[in-house]
Amino acid sequence: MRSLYVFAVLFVLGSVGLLVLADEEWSQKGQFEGNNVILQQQLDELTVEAAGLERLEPFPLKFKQDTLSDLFTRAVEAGEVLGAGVRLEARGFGNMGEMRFVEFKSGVQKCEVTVQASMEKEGAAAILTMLEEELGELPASVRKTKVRVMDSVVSVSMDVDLFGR
Amino acid sequence: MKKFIVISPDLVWVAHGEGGVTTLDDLPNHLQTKEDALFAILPQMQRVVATERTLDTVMASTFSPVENSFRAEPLEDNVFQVYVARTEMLDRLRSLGRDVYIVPYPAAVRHALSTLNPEAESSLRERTRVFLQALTDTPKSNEKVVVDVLGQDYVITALRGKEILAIRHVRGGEPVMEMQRTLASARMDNPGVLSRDQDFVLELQSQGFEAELPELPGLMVGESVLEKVTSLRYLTDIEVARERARQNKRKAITAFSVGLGCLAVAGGGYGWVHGQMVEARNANLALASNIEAKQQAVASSYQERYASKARAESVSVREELFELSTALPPQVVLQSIERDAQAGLVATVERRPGAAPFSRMDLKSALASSPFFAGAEIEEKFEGHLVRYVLTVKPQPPGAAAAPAQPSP
Repeated sequence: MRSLYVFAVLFVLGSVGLLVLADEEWSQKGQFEGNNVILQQQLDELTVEAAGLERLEPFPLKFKQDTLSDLFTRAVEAGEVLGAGVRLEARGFGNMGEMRFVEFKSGVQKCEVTVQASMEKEGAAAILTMLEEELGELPASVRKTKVRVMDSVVSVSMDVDLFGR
Repeated sequence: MKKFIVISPDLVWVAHGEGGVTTLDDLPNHLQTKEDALFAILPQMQRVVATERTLDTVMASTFSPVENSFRAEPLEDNVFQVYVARTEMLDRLRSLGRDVYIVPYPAAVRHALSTLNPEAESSLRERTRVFLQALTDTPKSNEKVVVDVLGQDYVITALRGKEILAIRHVRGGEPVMEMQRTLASARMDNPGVLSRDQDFVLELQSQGFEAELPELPGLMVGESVLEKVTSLRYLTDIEVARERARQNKRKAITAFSVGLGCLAVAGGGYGWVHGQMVEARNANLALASNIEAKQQAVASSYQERYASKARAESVSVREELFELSTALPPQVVLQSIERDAQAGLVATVERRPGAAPFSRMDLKSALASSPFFAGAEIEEKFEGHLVRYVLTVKPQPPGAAAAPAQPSP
């Protein structure tokens, strides 16, 4: 008879323990569900982003050092061949004059530079066209271009974002 | 089994066979072979307010537990009807036979009445019908008085429903008067009277009582149903111990069952919650895995295609520069041209010193056919003797690139 009572007490204690565990797991379930809503939103955003990227034409990014090298080759050297003095400078705060790539998007790094060129007024439009076309061949985006025409000299300043991997 | 109704030590009614009257001292002569016997006694009635747990304590405070034995039955919540008997009398009766059952006689009377009047134990449907009848008929009283007549002795039992209000043994005297005393002490108002004595019934009817002669075997009302109330028999110490053991076992089994039920319910609940939690966790892991895979795919796509997007967002001024170099009239000269993805296209031209007369309208008409500056806002600025014109073209919203430029007023 006593064993029945002992079992009954054990059962009740076991029930209480199970209820405590159930309460704990219920709160965990709530946390998971709340987290799932956020993760689902992230997944939806990524899906939309991926779909947007799929519509773009393939244009693979190069390694960042190769990209910088290309920029020098195409812009600076080509400009000098045509008679324009081309100069590259780091842009943005905290760069301390150093061209640095920073994480921009997943798998993409960005380097902000300014391309400055000085040329004679005669032929300036052609050199500018050449510069823009050369930059168009690179994984780069020209954010701002300013052309100043002085007496016989034309000064060009281009804010360029250079992308690499 | 031989049956006796012990009314007093001097009056015992033999309720088996031909019936008859004997005394307590003479009972051994009726039970010479030590056979089984059933005795009905007239107990002292007590209405007790207590719980099942406190009933023993309450009774012990009123009646000495050594000298008295009692048997209780519940009347309503926390109200018990107790049949109190002298232990000495019970021991004496038990010594007369082999298996001796001793029951309270009023319980047998009540059982006999319930067989006569089944409505007292009616079902819900019958009660409803009685209730509807009560709208037109006067309700029947549930108060009854049973008078057993044995020569000059009377046993008067007063009942109200299930409760036995009083049981009296009266010797001699005026039976109607004694019955009325019983009614007064029990606070009864014109109850139905039953008796197996036809003369007594006729006398009561002649005096205006609602009396009837029940169709029951035997001289006493309860003698035919004594064996029906053995569940209320007085228990021996061994039977009490067995009864308690049985009750304790029932309680233990009940506690075990309740505990097991709680465990089953809690286990079921936990299982359900655990299942829900595992489902949510698996969904979480699947989402995290999908996001990781999608991030890798997006990163790969970015590396594969982002340069295309960057190139598409690039701005250029070469065509605008060429356009201005050919379209501007000779009175003005280009100072600067600037294009920003956010600010749009801004060109500044300056009037040549000593040039022919020139106005803002002349500049507007000169640029009217320009694909880039036809819609430009032209602001005229004066700095001393210098006149500058600032041409501003706001960036076009996405999707409006193909729209033709409109000249500003």
